[in-house]
Amino acid sequence: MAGEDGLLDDGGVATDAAAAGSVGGVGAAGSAGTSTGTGGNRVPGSSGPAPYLPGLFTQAEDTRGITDDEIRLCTHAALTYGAAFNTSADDLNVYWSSVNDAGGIHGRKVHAYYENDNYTPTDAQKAATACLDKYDPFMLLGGIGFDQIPAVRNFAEQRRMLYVHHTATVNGSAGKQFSFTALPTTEKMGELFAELAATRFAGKTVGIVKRQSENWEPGVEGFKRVAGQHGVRVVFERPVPQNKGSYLQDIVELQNAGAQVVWLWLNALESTTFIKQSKAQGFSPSFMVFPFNLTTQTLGDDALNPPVVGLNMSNAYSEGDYSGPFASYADDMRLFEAQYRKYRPNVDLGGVGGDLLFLNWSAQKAMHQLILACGPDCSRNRFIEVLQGVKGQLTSSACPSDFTRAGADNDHRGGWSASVMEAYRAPSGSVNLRNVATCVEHLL
Amino acid sequence: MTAVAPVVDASTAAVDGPAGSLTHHPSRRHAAPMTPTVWLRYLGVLLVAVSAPILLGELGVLNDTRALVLGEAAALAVAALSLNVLMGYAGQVSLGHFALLGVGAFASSRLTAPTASDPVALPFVFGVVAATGAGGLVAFLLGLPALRLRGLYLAVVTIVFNFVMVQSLFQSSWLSSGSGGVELPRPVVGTFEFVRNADYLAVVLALLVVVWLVDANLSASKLGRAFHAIRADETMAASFGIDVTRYKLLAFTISGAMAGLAGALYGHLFTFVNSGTFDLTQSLFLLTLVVIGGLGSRAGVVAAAAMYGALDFGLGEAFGTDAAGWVVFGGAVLLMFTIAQHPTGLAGAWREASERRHQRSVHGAPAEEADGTPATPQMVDLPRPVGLPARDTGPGDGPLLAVRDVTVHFGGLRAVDAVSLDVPPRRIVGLIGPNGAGKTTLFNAISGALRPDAGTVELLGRDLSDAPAHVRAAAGIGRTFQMIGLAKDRSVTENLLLAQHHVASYGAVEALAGLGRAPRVEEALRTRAAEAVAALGFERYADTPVANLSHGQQRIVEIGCALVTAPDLVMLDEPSAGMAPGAVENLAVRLRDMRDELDRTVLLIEHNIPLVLDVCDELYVLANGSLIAHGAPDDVVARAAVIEAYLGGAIS
Amino acid sequence: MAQVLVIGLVEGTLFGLLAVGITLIHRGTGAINFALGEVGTFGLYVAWWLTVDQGMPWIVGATGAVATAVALSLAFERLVVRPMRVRNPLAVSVATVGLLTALLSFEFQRFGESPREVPVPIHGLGVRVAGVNVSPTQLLSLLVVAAIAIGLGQFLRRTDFGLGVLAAAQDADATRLVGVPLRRVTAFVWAAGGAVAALAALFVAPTVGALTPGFASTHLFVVALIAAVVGGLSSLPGAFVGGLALGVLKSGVLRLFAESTLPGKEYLVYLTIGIAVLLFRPNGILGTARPRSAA
Repeated sequence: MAGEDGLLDDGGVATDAAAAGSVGGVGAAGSAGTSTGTGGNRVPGSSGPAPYLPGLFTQAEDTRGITDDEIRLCTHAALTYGAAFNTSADDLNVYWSSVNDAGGIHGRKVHAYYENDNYTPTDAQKAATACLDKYDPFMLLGGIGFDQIPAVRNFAEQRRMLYVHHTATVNGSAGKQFSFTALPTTEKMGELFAELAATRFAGKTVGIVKRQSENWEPGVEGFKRVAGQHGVRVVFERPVPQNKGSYLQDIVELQNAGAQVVWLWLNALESTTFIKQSKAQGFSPSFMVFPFNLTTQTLGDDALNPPVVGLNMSNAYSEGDYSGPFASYADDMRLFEAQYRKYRPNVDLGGVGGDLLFLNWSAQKAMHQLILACGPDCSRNRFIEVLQGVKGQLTSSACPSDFTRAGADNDHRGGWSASVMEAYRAPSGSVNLRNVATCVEHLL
Repeated sequence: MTAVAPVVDASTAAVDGPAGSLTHHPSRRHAAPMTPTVWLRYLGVLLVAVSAPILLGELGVLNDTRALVLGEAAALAVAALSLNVLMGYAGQVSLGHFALLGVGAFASSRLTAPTASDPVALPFVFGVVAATGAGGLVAFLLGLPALRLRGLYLAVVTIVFNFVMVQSLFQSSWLSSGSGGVELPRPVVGTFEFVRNADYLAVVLALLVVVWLVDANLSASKLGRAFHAIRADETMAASFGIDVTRYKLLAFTISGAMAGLAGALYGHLFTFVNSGTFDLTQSLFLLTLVVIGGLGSRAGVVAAAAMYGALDFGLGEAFGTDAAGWVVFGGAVLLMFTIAQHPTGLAGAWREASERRHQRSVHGAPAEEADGTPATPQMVDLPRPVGLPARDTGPGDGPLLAVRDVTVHFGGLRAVDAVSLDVPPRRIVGLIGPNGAGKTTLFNAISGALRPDAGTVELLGRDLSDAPAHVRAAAGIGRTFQMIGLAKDRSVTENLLLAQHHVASYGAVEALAGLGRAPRVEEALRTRAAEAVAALGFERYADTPVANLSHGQQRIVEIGCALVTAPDLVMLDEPSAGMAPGAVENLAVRLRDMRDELDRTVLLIEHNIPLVLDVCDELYVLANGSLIAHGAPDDVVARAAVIEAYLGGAIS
Repeated sequence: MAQVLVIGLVEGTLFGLLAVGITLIHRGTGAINFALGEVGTFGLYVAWWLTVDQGMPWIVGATGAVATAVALSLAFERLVVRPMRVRNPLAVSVATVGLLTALLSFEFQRFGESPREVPVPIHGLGVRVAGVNVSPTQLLSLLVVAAIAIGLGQFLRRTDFGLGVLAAAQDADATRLVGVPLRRVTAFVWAAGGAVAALAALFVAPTVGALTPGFASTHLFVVALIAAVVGGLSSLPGAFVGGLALGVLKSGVLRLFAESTLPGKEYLVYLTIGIAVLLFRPNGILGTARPRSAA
């Protein structure tokens, strides 16, 4: 394997001296007023502790979870819920393993821990509490879970914990000082889905099957608002409880209503079930979903006639296929595959969980840039400052982030774009997803 | 000499109805009502329960994760106590108890959490009160249809109820926000917010102590006795004036209220719950805890909850959260083993071990005289109870009991055919006849244990024909049963207390609080029970479980229970059956005393003709459901028809 | 309307089948087997492993499912019920609750909450009836259910053993008089119940689509339980008809109240029906009346 070590060094871990130059996209906008600046040349521990940068955290809180030797992260996520795979912490830490093997970030090893939140808000609390008690982390990270994040957002606010999380609603985010997300909001995703319907399925009738939850509803409201503005006709709207199981009734009524496009505002597992049952009923509209390979691979050919489409906050992944839309981030894909070959060779990246692992890896790579930019004197307040100055792409496989937009709480929010994907038959034979439009803020 | 009695399994209590009952941890000592010392002790425990977690939290010993685990275990303990009231005391099975916790949690959230549509947020206390009320109300509504029937129907209704709440109502937009669930904020007192888990744990523990106290009051009161009686034998319970359906409903309501409270505690601990938090697995798991801990034992079920908490935490620390999930599986396997092999659960095992250690025989010596013959009770001069109005029934006031044209069918068979009889006041009236004549059936029709198809029953001029058994008992009918209608695993004193149920004039709320009229009345009941024990000459056996007495002695206790509230009419069903001759003689003396000294009226079913000839003032003869003779005993017995009925032919 | 009927009947036959299983066990032992649904789920996991994981044909998976369910039921009877010190129907029922909990937690631990694909016997679109697609699986299930219903009915009524089974809970002596050892009756009803549960789960799964722990208990058992109550827990045809009726009722309610946002409406219907039957006709709508007990 030519240049394997080279691949690891390429665009990956930076030595102290090269810190400032190699990190693309982290603007200087936020660094005004910092005494040491981002990516300074001071080696940790070399000349006493760094001066305290005032901000959200008090001096005592500012350096929790970070020492000269390590920085600790803890994530609450549904480790066992997805895709019939059981991820372990090792599976999720490949990127950090490679970073640590190369010396870490400013000499600090990254230790990432995971607590299973079982995809329920109650267990998310338990997981978050365990994160804090067991590891005293620098920051708490929140994995996918529309219903879990609002619960942990509150928790983080009460415990004064730095919380960086996946997509959540604008609703409930007002005044949350300690929570940040680099991903678009639920409302924005809904709006984009409507734009997708208006462009790709112009003139067709749309049926909506949505998750019954206050945390999901804002997406539907966004959809309907934009749909109304662009003449998309909604002929059916039905809330369903989580894991309803049998959607026979809803499918028959969708057919009766004559829906030509069905937007499934549900999680990947529910969508898969729904589409399967629809096909069994001989109902084959165009489906718009949250696209994951889990769905397309499980459905197989059923995902192709007509092709399932969707919008995601991350980019598509198909093992070994670097052509076409993948080319713009093929470098990340290759690095990802190489690292897994080295550290976790038994993991099947071509299987149903591959894109989820890629999504996770890519987010970690982006996080790497932020921690790097935070510098050898990194502290929580400095990190926040770095984060709030981000405007650009942190890594090729992640969509650009922009924390500098005007508007209330927009300095806690950095995601404004998503990628459109559709199902296709990959060279390997599996039915995967690939981008149709990469990191777009609007389709209209 | 006193032989050691064989260990009598409490489960040999009469099997009731088609479904039977579960074995329960039998209570040895009758629980005493609250005295000031006891109150102080509770207060002390409360103070410790509140201050310890806060202190340990301050010191950093009790970090958030540990406090969360302990808090969960404590809330589960409250839930276990609630299920114990229903299953352990009243013997009814609920498979959906966690749904009642959910009702409490969602109710509390409604009041305490501000939402877009309802920005008003009330303090924590309101939420807790609302939760308790909602839990009780929902349990009441569920119990109304389900508890009228014996058997597993409550189990069926509650399991479906659990599904309904989890799949439907807890996800509705009316109660909740869909799958996102609801928020339950931590309590705030002034500027102090109970954010730290250790602080909130203090709240949960404090309420656990309160619930424990209420539970203790419950067991010691007439409610506890009534529940136990219902669990043992519903007919027997009714004969002591207990309205069985109402009490079952009461048990479920109280249980539901406690469960609602547990739900609020649980919900505010996690601050966010959704429908999945209360799903069926949780209800089943709670049942597992309660059975393993020992049905009927407060300490047992709380210990089970605590052990679960410890195991869950320990395994989680050692092997990860996945390993902790195996605790539920282990618990389920243990449940099956417990039900099959050791039904009294942990509490039973503990009791057996401690009794072995003290080398006490489990149930005490059988009641015997020094020479080995069964002790003969005295039954002298049972004094008239204080507070009961004197009945002014002189001779010639009309019959005490008037039965007219009572008919009972069983399918095509006429067990009792248009029978009429009068029982004059202060007389001993005998009812005799061959086996299968319908005597006990007639008794049951008079006492209300069954409803006749036709006919009327009047007591002292009051028409009781439509009244259920417990009303007739309170109206002044005391009776015994062929198969000894007592709570066999309880002591003689406990049974005498039980028998006074319908004169225990205090309400359920007073019982639970241990305040108001309850202590005074309980004191009076105990005094009277002690008098009765003395009158029976059974001081030695006051605390002996009835099951350990000889049959004859049990019969005497039963008669004592029938008499203890000075009923106007005493109905005895074959009182001399199984008694030794000496005891029968004594019984005759006592019967006459009842009539002459105590002004009682007695209606007696008997097979012992000499006894009947000895004590009865008049006699009715029943054969094939019809009355074939009535009159003075000597006359009646000599009549050809009567002899023929008994023997199938005349004898000289 | 016709759609409602078609959907309802297709689902209802499976409800009815499981309701028969519940009633059979109740007739034979006096107890309610609360774990019956989950025994079926467990069998379905075995079928999943055999077909989806190991790639064997559906019939192998189905056989494995039925065999596992039967073995599990018999093992339960032998290891838990028979050695019971105090054996009455209530205690046995609570023991089945233990089995249910054990199965649920085992499935959660071993298989996780992630839904799994279910094996399908026959692929293809099936026939169209009143605008609803009746899949080949559903057609097959109708055939199988009919065969079992008729077969079981004949067996119970025409053979001595069957008569023994019918009498067992009410009148154990009658059973012995017919020359049937009670032990065999008990074993038979537990095993038959298990087999029926596995079959019901196998055939309902493709309609529901995703196998998760608690699958059969949630989607099948709770309805079947109410159907059995409708049959008074004593009448086998009553339970079956109850299942059909509840299937149609569910479909009707979902259609009628389609606009309402209340999830899980069908469960409310089940609870209401159950309570109504208990209030007004506790012996079941089609149940055999029990003789009034002489207290």
